[in-house]
Amino acid sequence: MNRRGFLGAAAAASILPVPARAASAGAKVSVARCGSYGPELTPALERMFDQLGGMGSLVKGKTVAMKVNLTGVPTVRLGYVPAELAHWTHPAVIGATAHLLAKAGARHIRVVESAWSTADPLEEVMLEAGWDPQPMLTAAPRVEFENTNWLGKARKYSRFQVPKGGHIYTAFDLNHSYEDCDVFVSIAKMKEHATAGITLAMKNLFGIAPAAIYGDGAGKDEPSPVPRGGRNMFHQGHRQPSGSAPPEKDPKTPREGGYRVPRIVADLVAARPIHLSIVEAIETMTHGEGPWIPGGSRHVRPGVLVAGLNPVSTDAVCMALMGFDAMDDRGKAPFERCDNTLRLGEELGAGTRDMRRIEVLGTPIRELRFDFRRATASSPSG
Amino acid sequence: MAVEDRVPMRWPAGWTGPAALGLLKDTPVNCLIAGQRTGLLREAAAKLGITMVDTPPEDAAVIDGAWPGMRISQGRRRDDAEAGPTGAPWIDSNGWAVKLARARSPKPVWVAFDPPKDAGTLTPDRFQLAAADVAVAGGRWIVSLDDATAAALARGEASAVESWRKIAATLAFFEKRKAWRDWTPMGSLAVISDFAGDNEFMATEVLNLAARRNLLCQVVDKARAAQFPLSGLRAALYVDKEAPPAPVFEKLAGFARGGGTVIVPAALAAKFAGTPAASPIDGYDVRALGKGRVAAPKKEWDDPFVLAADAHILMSRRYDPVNIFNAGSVFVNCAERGPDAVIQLVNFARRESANQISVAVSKSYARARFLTLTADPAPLKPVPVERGVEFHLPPFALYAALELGGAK
Repeated sequence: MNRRGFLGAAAAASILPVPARAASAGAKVSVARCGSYGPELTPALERMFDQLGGMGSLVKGKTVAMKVNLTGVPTVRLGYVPAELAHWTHPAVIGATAHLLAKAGARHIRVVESAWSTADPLEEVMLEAGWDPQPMLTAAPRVEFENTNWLGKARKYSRFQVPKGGHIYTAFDLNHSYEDCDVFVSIAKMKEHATAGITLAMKNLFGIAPAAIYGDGAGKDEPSPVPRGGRNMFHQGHRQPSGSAPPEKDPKTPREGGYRVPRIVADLVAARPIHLSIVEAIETMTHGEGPWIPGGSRHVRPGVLVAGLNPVSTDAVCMALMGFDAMDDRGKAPFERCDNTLRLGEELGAGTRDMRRIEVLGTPIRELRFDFRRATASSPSG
Repeated sequence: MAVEDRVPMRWPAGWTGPAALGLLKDTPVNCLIAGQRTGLLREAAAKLGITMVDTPPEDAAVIDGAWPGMRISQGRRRDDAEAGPTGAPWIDSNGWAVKLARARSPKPVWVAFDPPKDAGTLTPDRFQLAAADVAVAGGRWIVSLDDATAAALARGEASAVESWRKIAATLAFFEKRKAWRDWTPMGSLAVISDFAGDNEFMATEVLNLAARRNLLCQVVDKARAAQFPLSGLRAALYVDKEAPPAPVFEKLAGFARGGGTVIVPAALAAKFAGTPAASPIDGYDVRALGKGRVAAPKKEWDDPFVLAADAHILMSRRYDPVNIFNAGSVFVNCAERGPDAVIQLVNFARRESANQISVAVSKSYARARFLTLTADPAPLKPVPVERGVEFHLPPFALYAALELGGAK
């Protein structure tokens, strides 16, 4: 969809009734049915933003960074299914969000992601995946991309302290884009995760840590000039980040992904707060975060969008939609082998996962619940 | 027999008598490189229409090659592949060397390499891969059997005979489609060099590593660059440290003025006019020149992998004519003639991919057929996508081709 398409779709939506502005939107989460990435998408998102109190007060005159999820190598797919229909944030959702935030007054929008093992411009990563970046760049005035997996266009990294001292790290050194923005948006795909149980708005921030510092090829003392490899350091704790960045608090903590990854995600979410969380599952995949997870992943069409102003609460609603309970912890699905990222975020003051304290707006959860585990089990290959 | 029609094989040392010539019956092999052999053997070969020579003829361009395949790490599990600089498995291929030889000489290209001595029993697909890797680039492998296979074949062992049948069928497959060799290679980037002396390492490794990222390029010998048609290409990478001859310089400057991207070493940047412009990647100075631009690194190139990646991004993947998905161990070769094109894929893993492979093409074609070494051509339906069409390939273990016709 080009800018004209986003404009037309939004104009059609503006005649719909607008819900009253919420007095306190922190634990409000909007849920909507959306069957395709076509013309119904922008109006659906706009209704959700209105249910959250409108975006004007959040973004007017502001610089917005939108962290999307482009995990893994761009040419790896779940069978014949393009990345955007399985494990990547769909470009139509990125474009629609940019358009609506600009319409609400955002001055400048930067789409950010740390592309797998490369310093290539994000546009090139998208082209490699078969995308045309142009409709996103023209979805609103002043949209740009930045690959945040390395230093990028700045002279130095920006340091973010973790409130309350953090679980694993006390602070992170990140690309300048995460400091440049007034408003930070996480646009994630609704998926399970092999290590962290689920990957939603919070886990999406795993990818803000630059591999030049936290990656397999990170320099020992200084960040590497270009990023190489994944973030096995976060999973296994076998090494420390480049010496220029703050090290772990306690290297004696368990060197186990199920312990470390949820805590590091919580640390990142606390350090770089998310103002708007959008999780899309119009189409997605079950069983894991990408096609590389063995054991019966399946392309599915839950047809759902979720948006909220608090990432922990938004993820809790997503978990309910997926057939899980955000109050469960290690040993119970989807946290069979890991700790609950939401609880760990809650401990750092990032928000609440208690559904009794979350106001769900829009379509009731019961109408859109899509049991990810049952979907995998019913897969012919699963 | 014209050298263009010769299908060469190295006569195994263990084959001592004319009886072994019978193994070549009904195969495409018609030229034996036999070293010093008796007149009796030569006479018997001649009766079968087989030419026997001591050494490869001078009217073929013979180059040394490497036994192709995925490199396996030592001291790790047998199924662990050694990673290259891309993080993908390291693959030995002769494709780039064949293309370079073809760019330097109009002679048919023969590639000489023998099976590894320490590889144990070689399955037929290893030989099929050796033949396919060279053939898709437009050359011929000088078929070379290992001693064990040759001996088993001479003894008439059923498994060896079956292996030989498969190898011969692979040779026949490519000979039947030898016209593809003369089609124009697809690719939007020209790589220009003399590929010699101090320039050899960087220039040849760029070709090798471009193939690894499926960056389709045209290999241009500097001596012929002034005549090489750059029209239709998007970028030209001039690798050599020395300034190009005046006609080549003018050609490159004209290409930039017409809208192309010219990439040159740092030392040559000042030779081009133009005004400063934004660079899509760090570490390059870019100047706008006419409708195009000239890009030069701020520091001298020292890593061919980085240079291949830089050239790809400076040109932009937008101009890749073909994009392949789920093809970690697959190399692609593409050629076209008029409205027809052929996309050939060689799978160095020699087993079906765990995930299905898709091929995206930037043009739209009226017809598409899929074929493998063993499967007859079958129509394949295109899937429309944002930037052209895709084809969802059926599983294949070693080689597949997509024949496309009626480009719109």
